[in-house]
Amino acid sequence: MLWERIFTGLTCFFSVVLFFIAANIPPSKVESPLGTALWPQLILIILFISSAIHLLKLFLLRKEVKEKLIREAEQELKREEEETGERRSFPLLLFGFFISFIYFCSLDWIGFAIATPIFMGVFMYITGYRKKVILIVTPIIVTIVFLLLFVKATYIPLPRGLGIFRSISYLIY
Amino acid sequence: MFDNLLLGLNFLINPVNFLLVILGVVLGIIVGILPGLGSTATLAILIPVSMWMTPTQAIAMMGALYASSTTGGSITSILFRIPGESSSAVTIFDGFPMAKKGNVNRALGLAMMASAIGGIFSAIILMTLSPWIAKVSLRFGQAEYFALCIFGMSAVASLGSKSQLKALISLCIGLFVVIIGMSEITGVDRFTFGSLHLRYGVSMVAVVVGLFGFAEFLRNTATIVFKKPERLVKPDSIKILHMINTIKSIFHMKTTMLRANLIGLFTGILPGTGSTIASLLAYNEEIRWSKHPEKFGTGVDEGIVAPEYANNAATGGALIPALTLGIPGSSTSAMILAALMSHGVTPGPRLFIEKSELIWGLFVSYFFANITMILFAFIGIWAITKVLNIPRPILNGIIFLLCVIGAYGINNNMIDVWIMFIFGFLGFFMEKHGFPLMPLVLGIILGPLAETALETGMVIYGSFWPFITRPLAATFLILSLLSALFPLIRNTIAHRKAKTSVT
Repeated sequence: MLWERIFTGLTCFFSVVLFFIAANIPPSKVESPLGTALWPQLILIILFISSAIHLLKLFLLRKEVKEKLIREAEQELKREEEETGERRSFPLLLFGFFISFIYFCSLDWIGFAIATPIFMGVFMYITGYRKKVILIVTPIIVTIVFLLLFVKATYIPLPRGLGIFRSISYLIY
Repeated sequence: MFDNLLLGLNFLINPVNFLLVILGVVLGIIVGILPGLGSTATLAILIPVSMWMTPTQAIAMMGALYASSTTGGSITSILFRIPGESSSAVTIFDGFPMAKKGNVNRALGLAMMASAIGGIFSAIILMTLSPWIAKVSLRFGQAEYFALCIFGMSAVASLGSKSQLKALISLCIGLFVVIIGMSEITGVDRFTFGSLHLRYGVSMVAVVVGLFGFAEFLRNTATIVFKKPERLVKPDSIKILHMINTIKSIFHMKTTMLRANLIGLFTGILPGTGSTIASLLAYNEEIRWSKHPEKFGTGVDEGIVAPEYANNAATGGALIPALTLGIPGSSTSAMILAALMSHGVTPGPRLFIEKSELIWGLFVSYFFANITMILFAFIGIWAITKVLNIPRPILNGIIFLLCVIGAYGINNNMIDVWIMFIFGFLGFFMEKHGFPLMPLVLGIILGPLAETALETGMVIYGSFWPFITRPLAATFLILSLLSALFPLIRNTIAHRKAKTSVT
């Protein structure tokens, strides 16, 4: 409920900020009967109104109704966990965020061919793989297959990195 | 017509021509499966290669590729929640949940069969009604386009079965996201904040891959299995025969078949729309007419077959104005037109008289491609489902890499990867808190079309009046209003009924 409030509050806030930014969009040099700002402003007004009503609804919920909704959501989650045998882990979600963030940052610096096996190895280890041979061999095979499929066969110029990493990447593909 | 049909068959029975059509089908399936490589880009690459072929051979092969790529894209949508083609994005909504429940055979079978039927339907229409349909579609002006978009967006009312406000917020986010960048009509930058990359706008494919594929990666990463080892998709052992058996269910949904095929065909004919919009409109209509709209998104048959009929029917539809009038119905059919022209062939009504061998060679090959693609799609499925036996951490890593390449391959830059990353989190968060993602996708797809139609229409008509007075546009607007009010009316009736039964 708290996160939903924060999200809706943010959409409210940004719709107002962006509305004023839209007001400063320069006029068009070609004929434009609607003007350049009307369409975005129209959408932002609808976004603001719908978010504001939703936010208001969330705040005006009576305490007992709120508690009932939270209880229902918890029961639903529990039932789902029992059915699937799976549980959500916040630390692992954070790990997913950080490892992908670091991987994306590193792609431009060290290139796909070097960043990918490192990412795969670390990812597999943290998510529960412990067999050393597989931890080393699989990331390398996956990287090779991806390079063959996407660089050699379909000509997607995956990032090669900078400096020495670029030279190494050129040796590989 | 019979003579023309024989002319087309005569072309196809030539072994070289036959093999080229098969090559087109195989390439189409591969291109469809691989995220990051679209059919438009592949056809663009193939234009110079096709110069050593005769115009009929080139166009037949490209037609086959175009037909089968839409089908291939659905395989990854269902198995991994990553659309191989943007037109397969809608198949995710029910295809993936059905596969996740263990009915992977059914999900894939329904998608493949519906694809083939949609393609065959459009091929038959292509052969019989092309010139006539092209003339009718010319009556569609900007007012009708705008009204059509509003009609599509009004489906939000049905999509937000739990909270219509949340669905509206989601739609507005989608509509806003596609505004970012240089306006196609006025050439003015909007919300680019000085960034050169943002001038080109936010790629729809990057957003969809993020919302569904990357969000799925996050969900899987954050999942601890405490009962038994699970796979991302639990395949009840992939069996081609089980998939073929779904044909019986397909014929139980006759209304869906007719409705979605007609929507797909007609949307395909309209210039600037294409398979993606067709599949979305067909899905919306299916929800609108369904007796159980709340079940959509949980893995219902209609939710898979409707977009699949429509996106394949739209491929044939898009070829109609391209060949008869020289107006491409989609970016991919524009590539086919470019290929025709690079072979010195001018599209237009005279093409049917002067180059009947080319036209009928294409029509018959297109028909044949839609039948044979089923076989190659099953081979593709067989190959790709082997991947499902891979342990979860490895498969999750592969999904992550497919998302990265899918986004990177759009423009070969990291900006699209970052966009995918941001929308991955947004998708994960929104889904977790009950904001439906479908309206967001609806906004992204229909937003640019609606804005262009409104702006261009205002320039042409000089006022807003024709937008509501032209008969076809007015019909769509009235339907939109009814559609938006429908859930409200339905709820009121249900509420009253419940009250009466209590008293």
